[in-house]
Amino acid sequence: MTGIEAILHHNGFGMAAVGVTIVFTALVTLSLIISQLHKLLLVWEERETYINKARRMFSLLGPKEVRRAKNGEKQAKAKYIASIKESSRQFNILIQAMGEPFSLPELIRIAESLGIESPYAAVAHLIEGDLIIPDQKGFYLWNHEAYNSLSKRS
Amino acid sequence: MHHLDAEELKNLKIFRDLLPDEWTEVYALLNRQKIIEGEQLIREGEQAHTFFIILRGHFMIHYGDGRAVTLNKKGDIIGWSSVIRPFQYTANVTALTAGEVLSIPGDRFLELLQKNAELGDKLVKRVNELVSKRQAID
Repeated sequence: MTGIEAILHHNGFGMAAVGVTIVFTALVTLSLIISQLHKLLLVWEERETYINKARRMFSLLGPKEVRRAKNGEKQAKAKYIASIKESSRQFNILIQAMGEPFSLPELIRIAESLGIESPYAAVAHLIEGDLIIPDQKGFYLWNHEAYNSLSKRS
Repeated sequence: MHHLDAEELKNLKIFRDLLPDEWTEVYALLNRQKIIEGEQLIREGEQAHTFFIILRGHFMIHYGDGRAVTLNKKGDIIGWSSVIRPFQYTANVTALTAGEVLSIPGDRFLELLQKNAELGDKLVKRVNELVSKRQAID
């Protein structure tokens, strides 16, 4: 027995059809996975946000976790104040030397050349904390009052 | 860029007035871009090819003469020169903190504004409002 007859006898056409279907299905599945990969990557990048959302949704934070989270927040706040105090001390000296009003990009350039850590972010925090305030003419002033009150904080 | 949270972005002030059809066209042009501290987004005098909308972070617009303003509000815009002749940036923009922006290719955005006058009017009106609320530099 040869040719078409042999193929028919051994379910050759059926097997070919199954083979094509398997390959086609695998390719479609693969392409679907690849097309949605960016969503998975986005979820991975924003995993902290999603985890926190899920925690809030299912109220997984028990009293212990809530206490721990509050302590964490307190520690982070204390750390932030300590860091802003340190950078305000450094920038206070720098600004006194530069004179007021001063140029913000120039301040950053000098801070960078003196090796002050993260001068861009430090300046942003000082602006957010109202220690550096705009003079409405494109230059900036040092808020001595805010600096003195920050220096007194423990 | 369909992985962007469309609802969240639609609520940005600049896009708030857009009709669903208009929003679909604008949304197709948006790209999300992460920025690192100290990164220079725009250089004064260079050809303006991209328009940015702040999602997160603190940015400094500064000029050659030392003047500067800072922006840190979600929805604030940077690089409007990319849709205004002579398509040349008029200031430098540097990220003070790590952040995230939406970037829009200026030529495609301009094409869209020219194609749809009503959409153009809405966006230009919003841009004028946003720019006028910035710190004034006399």
